[in-house]
Amino acid sequence: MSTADDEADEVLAAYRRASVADAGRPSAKTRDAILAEARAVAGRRAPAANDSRFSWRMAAGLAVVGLALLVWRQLPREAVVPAAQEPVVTAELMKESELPPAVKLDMPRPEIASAIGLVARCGCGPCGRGPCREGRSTASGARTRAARNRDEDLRAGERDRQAAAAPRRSSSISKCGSPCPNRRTCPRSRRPSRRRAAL
Amino acid sequence: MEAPRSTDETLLQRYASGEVAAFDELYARHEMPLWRYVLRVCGDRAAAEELTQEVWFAVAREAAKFRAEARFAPWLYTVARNRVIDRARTTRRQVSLDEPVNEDGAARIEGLEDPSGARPDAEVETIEQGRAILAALDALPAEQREAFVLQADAGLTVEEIATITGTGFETAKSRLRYARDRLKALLRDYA
Repeated sequence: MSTADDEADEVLAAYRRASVADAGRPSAKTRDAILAEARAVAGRRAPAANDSRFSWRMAAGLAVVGLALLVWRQLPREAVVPAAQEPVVTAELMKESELPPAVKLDMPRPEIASAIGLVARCGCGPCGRGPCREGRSTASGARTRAARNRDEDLRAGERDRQAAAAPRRSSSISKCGSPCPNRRTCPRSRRPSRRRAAL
Repeated sequence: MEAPRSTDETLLQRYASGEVAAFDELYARHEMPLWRYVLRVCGDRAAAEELTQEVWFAVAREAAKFRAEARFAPWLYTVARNRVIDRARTTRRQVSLDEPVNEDGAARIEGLEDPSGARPDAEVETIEQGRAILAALDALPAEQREAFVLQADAGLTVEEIATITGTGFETAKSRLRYARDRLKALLRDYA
């Protein structure tokens, strides 16, 4: 060890001796107050820890309930409109009768649309998907397109049948084959011509 | 066979989990070093009593927040240092780095240079030497004195002193060197 280190150690040792003799110690009152506070803090901390555990349990329970609610809300939609069931309905109807399915179903169009998952949010009527620009499907893209094609087929069949069976009607039937609530704005609705109106 | 001594950090964690006896042991270990540090830095016994109490109160209250990977002693002295600074701000006391903290520091040194009466025996010499060291320590700039006390009383490393005082490693090292050199010179003169 070098002389400088020895001297440094000597300084430290001399200081420590002097410091111990000079500084004394904190009063007994201060020491008692410190130890009493430590006990009090420890006593306060124990119930707080229990409360914390209880809060965590409550939070976990609420999270589980929330998740269960979310799952429950998802389930009915999946059960009512499973993708695999859509073609089955039409096929069964086609087997039961030679008539077009729309006629056999005898259901209002909104219900059909609802059944296949194409409910128009604007709620503007049976043919809300056609002329209505605000109509949006709630189903996913692929399923929406498939259902739309199917519905178009149903409408076409119904339209052909009505055209063959009934005389021409003048105005209030849209080309899509059902009363259209957006008659004025629907580009597919026919208006009676002046000549026909004069007759 | 004697059971291994618990570390300060283990004691604090045991106290945080509700074992009050662990705090008693921790206090017994650090009572005197902390007391001496606070007394040397603030220079007033009554203020040192209050500050020491506040520091230990803070230790008791903040024990649950203490990080397991940290060291207890640097944390304790950081808390103490912050309390000393807060108190200095509150009392609006301006501490100059060039003047001794104790107003009678210089007088004590002068008194030792010219001792009255006959030359004392060895025991008295030791006491006088101790007083001279303490007076010289009081006469040091506050930053050097603080660094020296942190090393001598608290047993902290240079790196820990640098962290606590918010300075770089080299700065803390040079402060320690200056303080030691002055005290060494005093001891040489006294010898």
